Amino acid sequence: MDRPLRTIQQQDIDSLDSEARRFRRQLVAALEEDPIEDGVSHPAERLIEQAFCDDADRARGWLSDALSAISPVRPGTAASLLRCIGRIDYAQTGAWGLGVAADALRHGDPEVRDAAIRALESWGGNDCLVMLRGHHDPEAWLRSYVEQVTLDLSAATP
Amino acid sequence: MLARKISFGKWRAKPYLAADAIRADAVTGCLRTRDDTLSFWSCEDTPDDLDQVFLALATGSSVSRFETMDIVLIAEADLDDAGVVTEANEGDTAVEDLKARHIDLVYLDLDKLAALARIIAARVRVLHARRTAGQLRRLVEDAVVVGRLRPELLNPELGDRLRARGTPD
Repeated sequence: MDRPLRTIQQQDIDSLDSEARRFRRQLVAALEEDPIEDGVSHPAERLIEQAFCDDADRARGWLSDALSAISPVRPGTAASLLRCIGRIDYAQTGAWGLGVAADALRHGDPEVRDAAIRALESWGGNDCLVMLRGHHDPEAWLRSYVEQVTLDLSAATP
Repeated sequence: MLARKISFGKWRAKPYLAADAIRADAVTGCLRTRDDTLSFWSCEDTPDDLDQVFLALATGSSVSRFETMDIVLIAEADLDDAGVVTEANEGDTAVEDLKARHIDLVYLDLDKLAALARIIAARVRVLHARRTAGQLRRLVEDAVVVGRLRPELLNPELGDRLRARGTPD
């Protein structure tokens, strides 16, 4: 049986500046403390909102770095982070968010791809619809989900 | 039948576990007890009745946005076989006529929780139900239209989102 790497590489965290390091540690701790519950706000969202409030470009960079580091080793935590990113207003995420979702749709773990589809569903609009229409998931339950979200968004998108 | 909200992805097999193993994340994420109880909703195994469970869940006091949800359905007889005790308690939903459908599994210990996890894992392999954010929004809107739900009883954020129809959730 394949075994995933069990820890986020310490050298990856050491390479960050102190603020980024604190943000990443608080974020991962919050995500691992409480599971994401559908429809219910999560404490990690407040950290992300504050980071966007302080400096949106920097927040996007921190989140991209965090996802790159976490995704290969802790897909469950990465999926939780994507769920929180999907709850940020599309005005804040825009093209960056679409890029994050596109990467996540190529992830090997279905939980991560599920979180990416949820993010696109949450943001809505034509760009997300186009991305969903181009995604053919290997898992039947996710294909069925994409199909329904595509219908929902098509009905809501002028 | 009894229904519970779960994260379906956490019940899928992982390459680093045996094919029929139950992930620890599924247990710690989806079967998190409070006072040794777990919340379920009574329903029939029909799409319309499953919608009533989704409506109850989507209008809980802590639900602040429409988001895709999964539920699993289990047979009460399976719980009886596992020695799990149930207790009817008013449910946390803004839909008055659904409150009485709520059932708690009570006096849970590790053995009963493990038995419950096995029951859910077996059921999830056969069937789980998912409703998208858009579908949940329509269920809530319909409940308002027919007078089953007063929007002012919803979580305030969810109420705002309901009024701002057409905006992303």
